[in-house]
Formats: sequence, structure tokens, C-alpha cells
Amino acid sequence: MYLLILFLPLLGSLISGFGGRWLGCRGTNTFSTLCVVVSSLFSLLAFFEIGLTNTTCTIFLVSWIKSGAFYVSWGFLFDSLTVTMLVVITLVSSLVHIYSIKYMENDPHQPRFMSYLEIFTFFMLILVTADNLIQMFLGWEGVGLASYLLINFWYTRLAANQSAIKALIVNRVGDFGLSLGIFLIFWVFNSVDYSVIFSLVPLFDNQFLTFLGFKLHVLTLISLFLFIGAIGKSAQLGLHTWLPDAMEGPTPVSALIHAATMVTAGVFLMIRFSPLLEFSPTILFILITFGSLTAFFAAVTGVFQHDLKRVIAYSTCSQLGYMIFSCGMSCYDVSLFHLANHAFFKALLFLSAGSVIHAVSNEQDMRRMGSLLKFMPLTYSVMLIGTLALIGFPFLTGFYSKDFILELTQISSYSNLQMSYISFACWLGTMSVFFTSFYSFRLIYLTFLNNTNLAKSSLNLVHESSLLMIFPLIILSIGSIFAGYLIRDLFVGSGSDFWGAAIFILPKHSTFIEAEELPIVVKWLPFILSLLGIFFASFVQIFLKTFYFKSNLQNLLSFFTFLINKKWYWDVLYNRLIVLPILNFGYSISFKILDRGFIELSGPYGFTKFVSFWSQILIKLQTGQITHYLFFMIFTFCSFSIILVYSYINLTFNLLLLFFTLFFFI
Amino acid sequence: MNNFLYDIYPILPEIFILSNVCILLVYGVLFSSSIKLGYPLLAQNLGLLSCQILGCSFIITYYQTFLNLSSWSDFFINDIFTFKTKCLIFLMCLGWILITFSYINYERINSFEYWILILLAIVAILFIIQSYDLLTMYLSIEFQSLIFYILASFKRTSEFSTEAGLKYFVLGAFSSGLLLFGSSLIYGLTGLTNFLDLAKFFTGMPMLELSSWIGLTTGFTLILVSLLFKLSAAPFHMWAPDVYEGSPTSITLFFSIMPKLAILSLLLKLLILSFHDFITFWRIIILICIIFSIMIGTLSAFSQIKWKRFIAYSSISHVGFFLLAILSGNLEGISSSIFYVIIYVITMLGIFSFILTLRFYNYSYHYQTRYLQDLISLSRFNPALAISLTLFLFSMAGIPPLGGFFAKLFVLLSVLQTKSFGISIFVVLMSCISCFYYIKLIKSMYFSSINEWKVLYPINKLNSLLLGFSLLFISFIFYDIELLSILSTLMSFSFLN
Repeated sequence: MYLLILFLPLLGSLISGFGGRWLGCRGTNTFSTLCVVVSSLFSLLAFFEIGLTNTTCTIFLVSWIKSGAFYVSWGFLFDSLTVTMLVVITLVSSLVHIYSIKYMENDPHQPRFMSYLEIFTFFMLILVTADNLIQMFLGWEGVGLASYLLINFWYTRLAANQSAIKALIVNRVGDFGLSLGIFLIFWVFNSVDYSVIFSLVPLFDNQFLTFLGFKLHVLTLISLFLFIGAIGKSAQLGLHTWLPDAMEGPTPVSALIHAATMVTAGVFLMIRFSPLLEFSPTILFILITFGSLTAFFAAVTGVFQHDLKRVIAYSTCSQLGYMIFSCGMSCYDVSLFHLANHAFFKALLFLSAGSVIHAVSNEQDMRRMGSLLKFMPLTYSVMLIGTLALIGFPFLTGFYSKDFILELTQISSYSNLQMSYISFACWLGTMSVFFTSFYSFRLIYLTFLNNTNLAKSSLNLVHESSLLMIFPLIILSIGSIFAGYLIRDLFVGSGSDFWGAAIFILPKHSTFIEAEELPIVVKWLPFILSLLGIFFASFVQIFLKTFYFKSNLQNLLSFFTFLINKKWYWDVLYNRLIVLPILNFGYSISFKILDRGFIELSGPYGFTKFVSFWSQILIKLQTGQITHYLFFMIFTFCSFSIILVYSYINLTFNLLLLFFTLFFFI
Repeated sequence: MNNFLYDIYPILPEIFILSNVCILLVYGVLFSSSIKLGYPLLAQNLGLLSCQILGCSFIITYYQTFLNLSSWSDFFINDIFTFKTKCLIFLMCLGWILITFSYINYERINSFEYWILILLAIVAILFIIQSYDLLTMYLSIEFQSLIFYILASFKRTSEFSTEAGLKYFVLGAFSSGLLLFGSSLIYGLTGLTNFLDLAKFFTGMPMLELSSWIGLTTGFTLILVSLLFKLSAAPFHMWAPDVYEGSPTSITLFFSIMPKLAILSLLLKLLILSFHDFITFWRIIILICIIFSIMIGTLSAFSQIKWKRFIAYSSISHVGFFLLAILSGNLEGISSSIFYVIIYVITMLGIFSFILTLRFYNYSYHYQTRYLQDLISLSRFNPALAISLTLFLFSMAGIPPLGGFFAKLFVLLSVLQTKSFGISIFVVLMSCISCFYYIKLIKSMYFSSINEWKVLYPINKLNSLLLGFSLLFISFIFYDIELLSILSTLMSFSFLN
């Protein structure tokens, strides 16, 4: 059963990919969706067996690479962390499959789409179930590839090509870090198996590595490299630029890959490596810094975006920041809890956005929408549920995880914990709550409530989506409402032994009890801020549409608006400072001088010239004249005599003389 | 009397062949000049008879009880190496007859002396292999060379053939002179001619007896030069392309496979056994010869347009590989050298059976391929021949898992064990170039287009048999590489002193 969870999607992908031609659109849809649905049912069973009854299952399939001390096997590790991810992945994947049956109905390449979706699911499952780093890396690269294929699904669009390549290249930076991390782990631990690494970590706490005269803490270095991988995959600040652009892909893809599953791979990696991260305070600090900065920057950027999907993408980015800094606070379980919850409501948001886009003839600019409430009340309701869950409205799913994270940040007020840097996360995280609710409600207003700006022709075509699209929305909205409440005690309840050995938290980093004892005002603070955000958004949208222009601070405000709308100029900076110089270098130096110049001259071109040139010369020596032949024989013999002299140069002069007389005699 | 029997026993096959040669000679002379029978053509008949004789001598050799002794007052050695080599020589010669039988017919080489000469050449080669003395070495080499001169010019009507014979004769006589001079220098300085005696005499020699050292090394160098000439190692290779090209194709094949093993065995005996104490000295000479052989062989073959010259240069570079293996002077080197020779011989048999098979039919006459460009788009009008040549060329280029790859691999491994990295890299680079032009031929067979389609003369049964055999051998040797490696290791044990 455990292997079936993995291999059903693979089977589905292969059959719908290679046999889609014969199965036809309907056949592939049914088959692939069936595969994923069965896989998700099995995952639920696995969740019951492993998560609830607290067992761990490891499967050894075959050995893969054996080379000296390097040994990699196809092994699978199913513990509570894995099964949670399994449930999230397969559930969201099945719903997205069902959704895209309808959404991609008119696309001629639907079998290909289904095949890509399923190969993505397979690789994601490989990633989470791997019991060693190499296999995990296979899954990691595999989802990257699937993401590239899916973003580029409409490959005739230039924007899609650009975004796909951008996603791939930006991720490469992270993957490079991750592979360095894997190399370093193998160098240090001589193994790539999780079990070996994690059991050995405490012994390497005092191990240092001297590099270029710097003495580096090995565990910190490893976790830093792993975190670089996570930065790339989970779109943390610095390498986040690919995520908003990835919205060029079809909307179900955004829901599955760029909201619920793939982007959380980095977070998953951090959680998986909790036994290693815990021993390095430096990396925890870095996690907090990056996570909270990402949370804040992305939330602010989301405020001034116009593209419906990009707003949600920035929101994803910001939520990923929450997860990362919660890892930095050693609350891996809360981070995973938020990950699972986020998968529900973010998939819901994306899918309902897809529903909207589907209805308004593929228009994505929010400024051109409006009044859709009257046409698609159901979509509006589920989107509102998703939004409320996102901003952490009490007793919805997001509330239990996000507010808990924010509560945990407040423990920095306890000065005896010596974790003062958490206050950084506290400030930024709490502020982003306000922005989160602001942009979410701005989205709701612009899309559903304000007067419409749609063209008449499009407006006539607006319709509520059909059942196949609504069904996943309803399932997800039920999840967004209840999931947090249902699994809260299991995941983050005090004393829950659900995680077992999957997550390791140093006792001195455990702060749950302190969080319980916080003053009540502090606990309410996030909620108050989100309410403020809602009110402010409503105020701006209803009364002050021209707020920006009427204000006295127009210049300053427009500067900020512009800056944020341009996404803090990250792309511009990268293009100007990194991409352009590298491209120039690549063209003028490595291509023109090295490749076409030096290597071409000494390699292919020069070598062919050289060979035929010398070949001609050597052939000319073959004159056909016997005298010449004899000359060469004698000449060579004489040269051998010189060697004779040289090899015995240490002999007496007399001998040389004797030799020369003899030689003359010859 | 007992001693005499011991002397006779190891050379029984030779005696058998020689007595048969006499009978055949009488038979041939009587019958071919008989007016009553109308001057019958005996070439076919004698060919079959000599085939039978060789088969019988192989059986005699194979079932001989193996004796490890030196016979005829230490003129001949009889050890495991000579024993196995004789068997191999018989097998090679049988294969050669199978391939060239049709050629003799097509080209109307009707003189029966051809076969007599071949049998005598085999005897000469067998004597070279067994010779254990400077005197027997010279005599048997001379015996072999004289026959070869005649064979090279056997097509008396062809200008090329006579030119080849003459060139071979003049240059060969020169090198024989060098050999004799070198031998007499060594004899004059030591009073010894036997290889083993020389080896005993030279133990520790270069350090002690300095005064005679110069003379000895000069004599040794002269012998070496002469042997390298016979082996057609560069820069003493000049005769090879001309002679190979001029001789009848069957004789070219004979030249390119038969004497190699014999001369190599002499070289091994001299270098490893007698003059082993001069290793620092001869190693440099051999190294220079290797570099020249491989470089000249490879680069010159690069721009050849004729089959036989191409094969000649290619065989020069193969000679470089034989020498490369014995450069290390240890057992593994010798065994890999023998391994290489065997693989080389089988590949040559295959390639020549291809060349002899590739006859173009132009109604009322058919002619054998002469230029490399005849290969163009061969894959269209005879895919079976094309694929077999492709495999042979891949094997020569050293593509795994074909036989040629293992041959080169073992040679390079034995060289690398003595940490000679520079020459190994050089050899590998040169192999790349040779790989290029082998593959160029394959490209012209498969990827070139031709306007007029040629008609091939139907392939001869015997030829196809041997082509198939060598092809199978080359292609599937990887399946049980020990088939050859055990043999070659066993043969190399004779040089264990």
C-alpha cells in the first residue's frame, strides 16, 4: 500500500503521458484522476496507521548506488511528518485533478497536462518519503522539472517561456546550495541516510572545518547550505522572484505547485532536518531573519499588485516566511501545522481565483473586475472563507496556526530566554498580519464588491462554474473551516506525542508553556490588527477611492506605491547587477574568447588542421626512393648512438672517444 | 642416439612440411610440364594439398608431448611459448589459405610454386620462433626474407609487384647486413652466440666491463634496428607501405600477419632474455620507435586513399602497440603484447577477408576494390558486409566491448603499471585520431549517398566463413576474455627467468 501511494501517480503519469493519444481526453482524465484519488485514500489510511497509531514504517526497495563508502538505496521512510505531507499532497493533488478536468476542458493537450500534474505528484511524494538525501534530491529536482514543464505548459506564450526559465534558473541557485549541503554531509558523516546522519549529529557539535583560513562550524555550514536550497524552493527573500512570475502557468498548477505543495518543500526540508538545525543557533537566527523579512516584504508587496493571481502568490510567499521563521524559533510542529492549513486555504484561494478567471474570459487584472458577487455567489463565498482563513479570523483554520506562531513570537518579551532576536520576527510578523488582511480584502472588494469594469461582452459570459470545479472548492472550504480545529490538538497540542522522533526540538528551545502564559492583550493583538486591516481596506475601497491623490503626502506616497508595485525593484536589481554582467561575461569572454577562440583553436579547428598538416608532411617523406629509405634507417641508427652517449654520459672520456672511433668505423 | 631423437622430436612438424614440400615440388614439376596431360594447372590442387599438410602439421604439433628443452646443441629452444606459437601460426595460415583461395582463382595466379613458397615460408617462420642462437636467428630470418622477396614480386606481369619485390629485396638485404654485422660484433666481443649464454654473460655487465660495453651496445643496436625493420616499426617502416601496396593482396595479408608474431618472439627473447641488463638503454630506443610508429602510422593513415596503404600504416601503428607492451619488460607486458598480436591478427584476417570479398562486378569481368572511396554507401547495396566492416573498424579503433578495446586496454594497463603516464597519454591521443578516420570510413559507408549503384560479385563461401568467424570472435571475446588472456599469460611464462 505504501509503495502504491507513490507508484500510482507514476503509473498514471506514464499511461496518460504516453498513451494519452489512444486513451483520449476523457479516458486520461478518468484514469489519472482515479490514480491520484486512490493514492490519496491510501495516504489517509497511512495517516491513520502511522500518524494516529504511532508507528513508523521504513521500506527498503533495492540498492541504487554502491561505490566504496557511498551507498544509496531506494528506501522509503514513513513517519508522522511524511504521512502528513502525503495527505496534504495527495488530497490537494486529487482535488486539483478533478478541478482541471473542467478547467482545462477546452485545451487540446489535456492528457499532457494530466501527465505533468501526475509526474509532479510522484516526484513530490518521492521527495517527502525518501529516507536518504540522494533520493530526496531526485524528488527535489523532479518537482523543479515538473514545475518548469507546467509553467511552460502553454509553450507558445513568450511570457510563459520566460517565467518557466526564470523559475528553473532561480531554483538552480538554491539547488546548488542544496547539493553543496549534501556533499558536505557526505564528507562529514560518510553517509546520506537520514537515520545515520541524525543519530550522529550530536557527536559533531564541536567539529570545525577550516576553509581558506576560516574556522567554520560544520553543522552550521551544512544547515546554511540546506537553507539556501530552501530559499530557492520556498521562495524566501532573495530568491523569491520566480514565484510571482510562475503564475503564468495554468491556475490549477498555481494551486497545486506554487501554493500547496512544491513551494513547501523547502519548509519540509527544514523540518526534516530539525535534528541538525537544532544544534546550530546561528542558522536558527538566519531562519528567523529571512523568514520574517520574507513575510513582511511579500505582504507589503501584495498590497499594490493588480494581478489577481500575483496577489495570492505574494501572499503564499509571505505565509512561507511565517513557516520558515517558525522553524527558526524551533517550532517545527507549528510550522508544519501551518503548512498543512495553508495548503488548504491557499489551494482554495487559487482555485476560486481560477474559477473567477475562467468566468471572466481569462482576465487576470483585478482592476477590470468587480460586481462578480451577483454572478458567482458560490465562488464569492468560498473565496471569502479562504480569505478569512488566511488572515486568521478566529476559529477558522488559519487562526489556529498563524496566530499560534505569532503568539510564540511574543515570548521574546521574556528576557530570561535569551532569544531576543525573536522580537524581530514578532514585529515584522505582527505587522504583516495587517497587510495580509488589507490586501486580501482589497482583492475581495476589487473582484466581487466594487462596481464592475468588465467589458460588456465579457460580462455577458460571466457564469458560475460547473459542478466539477465547484466540488473541490467546497471540499477545500470545509477543510479551511474545520481542518485547523480538528487537527490542532494532534499537531501542536501540549503533550501530543504525534510527531514521535520525526521532529526533534532541543528542550531549551521548547517554548509552548511560555506562550500559554502571555497576557491576553498580546494574544489578541494579531486579531485586532487583521480587523484593522479589514476596516482600512473597506474604508479605502468604499469611501476614499482617490485617497492616494488627495493626500498632502502625495509625492511620498506615490513614491512608495511605485516602489512596492514594482516589487521593491528586486527584478531590476538582479537584472542589472547580476544577470547582465553574467550574460556579458558569458558572451564576450567565455563564448567569444574561450569557447569560439581558445578552445576552438586548440581543439576542433586547430586539431583538425594540425592533423591533416602533419599527415601531409609525413606522407611527403614517403618518396618511394630506396636511397631515402636507407637514409632514414641510418639516420635513426645514428640518433640511437647519441642516446647511447647520453645514457652513459657518466663514463670516462676515453670511452666516448672509443665509441666515436668505433662509430666512425661503422 | 637418444639426444638425436630429442633433437628431432620438437621439429617434427617442420620435417613433415619439408618432406612434403619435396614431394609436392616433384609432383608439380612432373605434372605441370607434362605434355601428355596438357600442362594442367596445379595451383588449386596444390593449394588444397598444402592446406591438408598444414592441417596435419597442426595436428602433429598439437598432439606432441610438450617438452621443455633446448635442442640441436642449444640452437633451438622448445618451450611453452614456441609450442603455442607454432599452433597459432598453423591456425593463422589455415585461415589465410581459406581467405585467399578464391583470390588466387580470380587473379589467375596459376603457378604451383606459390604454394611451395608459402609452405617454405611457414617453415622459416617456425624456425625463427624456435631459434635460440644468433646464428640460427640470422639463418632463419634470411630464409624467410628470401621467400618473402619472391612472394612480393609474384605477379611478374605487374609493375607494382616487381617494384615491391625489388624494394623489399634491396632494403631487406641491407637490414640483413646490419643484423649480421651486429651479430658478429657481439660474437667478436664475447665469443658467444647463444641467447642464454649471452644473458649469463651480461649479468651485471653494464656496470663492470665498460671497455667492451660500447661495442656490445652498438652490435645490439644494429640487431635491434634490423629486427625493428622486419617488424616494420617506424622509422624503419618505409618499405612497408610500398611493399604492401605492390604485392598481390593475398601476399599483403601474409606479410601483415605471419612474420609479426615470429619477429616479436625474437625481439622478446633478445630484449627480455639476453639483453635484459641493458634495459635502461633499449627502453629508450623502443620508446622512440613506439612514438614514431604510432605517430607516423596514425597520421599517415589519415590521408590515405588506397586500401592497402591504409592497412599498412594502420599496421605500423599496431606495431607501436606491440612494442609499447614490452616496454615495461615484465610478464604482464609480454602477455598483453601477445594478446594484442592475436587480436590484431584476427582483425586483419577479418578486414582482408572483407577486402578480398569486395569485388565489383562490371559485366564480363570483376575487379577487387582498391580505393577507400569504394566504400561509399556500401550499407545500401550490401548491409551485411557493411556491418561486419563497421565492427572490425570499431574494434581497431578500440570501442568497447569489441576485441580491439581489450587489446589496447591491457597494453595501456601494463604501461600504466610502470607509471609511464606521458606515453600513455600520447598513445590515447593518437588513438583518438585513428578512431576518427576509422569512423570516417564507417560514415562513408552509412551516411553518404551515391548516384550509380554498383553490383557486387557474390561472396565466396570460404571467405564468408572466415569473415563470420573473425567477426564473432572480435564481437564476443568480451564474453569470455580469459579464452585469450590465459593463453597469452601462459605463453609469457616462458620469459620468466
